[in-house]
Amino acid sequence: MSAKSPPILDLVTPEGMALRFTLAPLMGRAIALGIDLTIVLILWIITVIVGIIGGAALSFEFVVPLLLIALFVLRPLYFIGFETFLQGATPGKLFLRLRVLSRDGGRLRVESLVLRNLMRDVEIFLPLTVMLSPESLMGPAPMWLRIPAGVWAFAALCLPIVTKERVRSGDVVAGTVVVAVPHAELTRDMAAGASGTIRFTVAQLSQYGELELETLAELLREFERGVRPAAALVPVAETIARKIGFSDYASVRDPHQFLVAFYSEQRRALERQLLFGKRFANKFVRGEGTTRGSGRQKMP
Amino acid sequence: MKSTLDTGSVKGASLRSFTFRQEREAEWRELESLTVRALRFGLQTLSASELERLPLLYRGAVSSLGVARRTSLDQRLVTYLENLCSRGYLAVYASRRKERGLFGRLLFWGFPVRLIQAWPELTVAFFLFLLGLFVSYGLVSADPDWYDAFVPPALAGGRDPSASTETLREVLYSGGESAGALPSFASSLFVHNTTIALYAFSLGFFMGLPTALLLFANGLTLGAFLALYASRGLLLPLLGWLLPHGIPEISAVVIAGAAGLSLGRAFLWPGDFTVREAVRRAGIKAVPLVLGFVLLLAVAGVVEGIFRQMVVIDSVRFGLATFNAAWMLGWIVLGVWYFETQVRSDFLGGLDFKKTITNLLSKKTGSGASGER
Repeated sequence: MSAKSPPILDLVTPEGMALRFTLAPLMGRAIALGIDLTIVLILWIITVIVGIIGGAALSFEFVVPLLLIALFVLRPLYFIGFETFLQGATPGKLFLRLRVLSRDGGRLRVESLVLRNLMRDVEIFLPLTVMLSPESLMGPAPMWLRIPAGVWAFAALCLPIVTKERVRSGDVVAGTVVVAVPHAELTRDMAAGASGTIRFTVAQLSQYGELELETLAELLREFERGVRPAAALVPVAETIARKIGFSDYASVRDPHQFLVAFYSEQRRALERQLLFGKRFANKFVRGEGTTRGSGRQKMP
Repeated sequence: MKSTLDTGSVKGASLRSFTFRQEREAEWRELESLTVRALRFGLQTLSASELERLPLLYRGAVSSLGVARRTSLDQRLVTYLENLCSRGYLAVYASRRKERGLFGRLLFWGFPVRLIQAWPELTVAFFLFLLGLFVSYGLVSADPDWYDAFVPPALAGGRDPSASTETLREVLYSGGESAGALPSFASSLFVHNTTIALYAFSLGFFMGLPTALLLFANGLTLGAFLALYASRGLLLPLLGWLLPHGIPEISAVVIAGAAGLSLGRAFLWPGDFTVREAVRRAGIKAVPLVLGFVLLLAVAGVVEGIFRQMVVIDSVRFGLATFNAAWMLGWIVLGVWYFETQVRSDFLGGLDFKKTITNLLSKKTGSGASGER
């Protein structure tokens, strides 16, 4: 469990299911953009080389104008084309496992993709041009335009940091959001392999709550992965046996078997309670109202 | 091997969540593998039968998630299903579908229709441009020293008050660059103008102020130019030189400004919507305008780069200018007609030009345009 929860986006699917997506981290987006721009740069170089070869073969007069236009449209076409055909992802985003989503849950429109990529020019390339070569812009515009343009551009860069959904101005205009694609990994069910030879009474299964159950599951998982040695299971098994009053613990040979059996039975008991709408978050909650366990504190 | 049997033990019913998972795990795995391929390489890598399975598996996973959230205490399982459903959602819904009529919507009738819809912004944009034009025209006519304030030397290229009338006239009729470099000249003009116009549009998001400034500044430059040539009695030849490419180019600049102002207006006066929703709607309406003005700038680039240098007879130049104005108007008329007759019935909440015009004529308040998607 991480200390601070990542920012999330709540979306309601057309089936009425509420899904949570983790918003893409800003660093990840920056790196993805870096990858994409590097690819664009490589494509530019390739285009120029092809242009030079073509110009030498055919005629430069014919090739140079086409080359100028090709270099100009390459960057927007790269982003718009990939985001259209890869359903909201560019190669950089694929690598970082990010995806562009429509904020309202509907499909991504071509207009949205055009808009969010046009706005990127204003956020990144405009301040760069203003800082490095204002002359190239200032044909029809007077010099004092540089200052307000710089201020606006800086404001644009701050948007993803301050907004709740980490949107940049392109996302605002297009109505999109960038999320992290979740990883779906199914681990083995820890109740599998319970032999059923070890049984527990109802009273014994009334001591612990969901928190302890999940903690036990994680412990068993770590043991199976080899992270924890078998020796680590022994004190846990002993503590549990003592707490629930499992009098026959001395006859248990394998603490692992005991713990698996207990996990399986405890889960079944708690899930039965769940069906009646009773949830027990942890052992302190369960301690309320029982005749056993005097002196138990109530957790707020 | 000793077991503890207690008469009060839990009966041996199978663990429900375990059985539940056993029954469905195969389908989840199948969905998992489909989403891995769909999200990494695109839906087109799936076969037709897989594409049919995908939504079914997705809905199955969604219902499993609903059950699991309520009845299972295996936290890892619930998390797995949440992630699986998220991936399934991305694969199923965040995917591109074949769009029919895209060209029409984005350019052919989209541009004319959205242009007319944006008439308030167009008026303001044109007004700002004209304001700049008249201001600099007046100032430069009164005192030629103002010229340098409005036209940077790089752009003037020797065409300033210090040049003789003959020099100025020469520029209008000479070939300028060598004939071979003309297409490159046209390309570079297109690239430069389009960059500026796109900035005028995008900066409109910032409350429209940079856009307004850009429009005004463009007007200033042109006005100074006009004043200089008018003062030497060369206004008519200058118009012949300017208008063929100027009509599409100035229209493009004004349209770009209008599109930017529409973004700014959505930001400042969102009306019934939230700011984000208003800006999003304005953006969708603006995209055909953007594509349209890029096209106009391409035409202007070709005319300015190639034809202007090749064609030196005034009457032909004015003829070309008229021709440009004519096809531009024709495009608008044709697009609106096509929309009204062919498309409007399919277009949800479309415009109603007839009603709008009737309302305007009978001086009713409120236009006929209803909300669009």
